[in-house]
Amino acid sequence: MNRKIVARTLLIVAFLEAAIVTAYWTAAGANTGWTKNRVEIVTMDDVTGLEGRTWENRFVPGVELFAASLLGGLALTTLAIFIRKPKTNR
Amino acid sequence: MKQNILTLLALTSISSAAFAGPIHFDFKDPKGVNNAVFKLDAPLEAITGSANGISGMVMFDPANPAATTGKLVVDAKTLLVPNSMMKDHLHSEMWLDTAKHGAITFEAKSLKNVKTSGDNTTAEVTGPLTIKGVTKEISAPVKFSYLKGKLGQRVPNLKGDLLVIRSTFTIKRSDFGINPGAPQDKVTDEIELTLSVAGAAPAN
Repeated sequence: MNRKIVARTLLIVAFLEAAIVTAYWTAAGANTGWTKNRVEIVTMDDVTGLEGRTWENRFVPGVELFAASLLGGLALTTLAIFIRKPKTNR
Repeated sequence: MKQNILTLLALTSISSAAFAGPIHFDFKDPKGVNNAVFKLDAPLEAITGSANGISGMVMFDPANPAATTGKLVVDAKTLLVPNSMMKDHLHSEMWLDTAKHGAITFEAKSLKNVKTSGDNTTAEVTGPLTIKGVTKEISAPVKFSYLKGKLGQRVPNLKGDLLVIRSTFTIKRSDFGINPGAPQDKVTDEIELTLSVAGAAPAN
């Protein structure tokens, strides 16, 4: 009984983690590059026509964080399956 | 008498125009728009960054753009990339070693293939480029845009001219000792550099 509860809890945690991380990564711009902690802001100088570049400190999760979180969810799911499976004694 | 004065004035203006010579443009930009962008191809995404610590002086003669000379300096310590850890690597001894070599300089010695159309001049500029203490002679395409009397639009209460310089060229990081041992399948040897700068020449 306890094994079933633990396994179900792990599955719920895995699902929630995957859902939250996917939503966060998507909301942050679905960055398919590496994680950034500053973003370049490009502005146009009307007189010269040059593009000015300044940096703004902002965290943008990268694809490696997204992938690591999904792998974590997959690991929890695998663990839940193993815990749920009853041991067979011969 | 009146005609003599007019003739004298005309001669004075002609001679001053003839001997106007090059205008000195200062590239220390109070608006902080001047920048140098670099790009290296790498797996997943290209590594790009920019520096806005630009200074230098260019002597440009609108009547003779081919005679343009000057020197531009990029403060390597102002170079930023989107990731702090990557920035630390880039500034480290192995890459740019900005603690020892804080300046990236280019000196324009000569211009060839000069073509002028209106206020715009394109050419190929040649001169020594110094990065990480290594100096190499390079040639790069360049575009000058001479904006006569436009300084006041940028800096209120200041009269004068602006000179905009744009250039994009490629160098090899191995030529300048920038982490020459880094595997080229992880980060390419070629670095694309783009310079977008404006210099000011206040009227006296």
